[in-house]
Amino acid sequence: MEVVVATAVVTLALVSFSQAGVLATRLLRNQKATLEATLLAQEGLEAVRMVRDASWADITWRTGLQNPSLRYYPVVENGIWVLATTSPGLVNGVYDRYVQFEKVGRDASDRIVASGGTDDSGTRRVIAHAVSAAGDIQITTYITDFQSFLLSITDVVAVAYTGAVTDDIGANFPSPNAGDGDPGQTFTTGSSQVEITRTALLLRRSTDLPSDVFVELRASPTGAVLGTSQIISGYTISTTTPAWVSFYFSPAVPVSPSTIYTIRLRSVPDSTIPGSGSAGFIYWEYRQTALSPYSGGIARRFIGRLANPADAGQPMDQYDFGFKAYAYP
Amino acid sequence: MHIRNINRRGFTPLETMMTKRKSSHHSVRVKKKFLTGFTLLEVVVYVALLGVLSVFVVNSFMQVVNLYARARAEREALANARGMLEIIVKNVAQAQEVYTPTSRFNIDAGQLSLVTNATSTLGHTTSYIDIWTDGGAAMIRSEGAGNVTLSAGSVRVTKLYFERIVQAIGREAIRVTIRVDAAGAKFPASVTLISTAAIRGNY
Repeated sequence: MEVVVATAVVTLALVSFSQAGVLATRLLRNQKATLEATLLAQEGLEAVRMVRDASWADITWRTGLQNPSLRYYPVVENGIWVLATTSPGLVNGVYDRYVQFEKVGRDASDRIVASGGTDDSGTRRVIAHAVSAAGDIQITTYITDFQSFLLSITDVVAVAYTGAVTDDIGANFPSPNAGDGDPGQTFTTGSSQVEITRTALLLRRSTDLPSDVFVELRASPTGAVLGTSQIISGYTISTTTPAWVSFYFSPAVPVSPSTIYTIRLRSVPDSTIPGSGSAGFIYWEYRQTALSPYSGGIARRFIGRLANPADAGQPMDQYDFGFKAYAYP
Repeated sequence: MHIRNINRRGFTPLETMMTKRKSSHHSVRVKKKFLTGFTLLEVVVYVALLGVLSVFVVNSFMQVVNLYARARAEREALANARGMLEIIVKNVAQAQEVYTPTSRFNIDAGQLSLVTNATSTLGHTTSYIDIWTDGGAAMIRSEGAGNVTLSAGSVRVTKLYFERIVQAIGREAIRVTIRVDAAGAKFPASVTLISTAAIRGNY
């Protein structure tokens, strides 16, 4: 009898302990899931702020279609945050992350009212959601177009070749561990001195996870580096249709008038070094005609191949890659 | 030998027992000694039961201990990752711009250098902040101050990945991915958190 009682007591104690442990672990997992969801929702709001900072009009049209708006999915595309209309799939395989916009009404004293009021075209309510099987984490905030009252700096296209239509592997970039070097395009600046703020290249990725890429503005294909852009994550580059991807130089690069410069597309890991781990492919759209399509410069490939920084690569007189060079007006 | 009213306990008694016997006139205390023993079956059953019980108890106890150790490792990793991410994101949001020459983007052991106007140095309008990893620890340094370790000794920061997103001229955000593993724990616990902060210089 005593043995039975003792066993029961001990078992009961152990079962409660282990239950407490299981509960603690489950709570911790819940906490982790809630934190992940909250961070994703917050990131959604940051993405909205970034889109707002670039263009308020890009926010307002969404409530013009429907109020509250449809669901928009914040994703990084071609190196910038965009609010996509179609779902990119579950984030981390778990969370459905989207934002919605609502119009904001104000009363006679300019206070925001829950319903009714006069529509304030310069304010929107944003609700970010991160939905998983465990629930829906929502964060609500207001955004305004205060940036439009501040001095904003814009840039304009200084030099460009936009006729590139051929979409293929031409430059073998980023070369998968082969050390095949980088592609480049030379161009001639206009007659006035300008500061190059960015270059936009017409790119498309042909594989899921190509290496990350950046642009160097150089005096010549292997010459001095005048400016280095931010790195664009390879997987964010458009895969269906070629898109203009902007590579910004900060600070802007001053260039001399009527001078030839080189845009060199590079990768991380380095496409010029054999075995570096670089992975393809990103297509830089080009065009070939008997007479060079763009008279101010030519395309090159295999620059710096096989870890030789002095190798200016193969000049391709009949080819030009699609590019735009922007400058302060 | 016939014994009545023996106060039996448990198995067959081995000890000396006191018994009371009632006579017709008065109660008499009689002290009698019995020498008895376990049967072999009793011993076998007892030992088997004890064995099973001990195995069960020890096993369950180990499980409980393991469960708590695992929970603690996960808690450590989570708390550290969350704390670090918050500090990094706050610093990014307060910054004026990224200082690119000393920043290392898109690599697992990244470094982020920021220019901020929140400065404690007299006569300076801006100062620099560096955030990086060193030997599994996340570090931060403000200009004019020493290195400060952000992560606890009980965890290792195995990934500190910075991605620079330029939306337009002067409109930038930093996307931070941080992975924290519980260091040296018997139970692997790992947390990966991602967040983005726009560089907006205190607004």
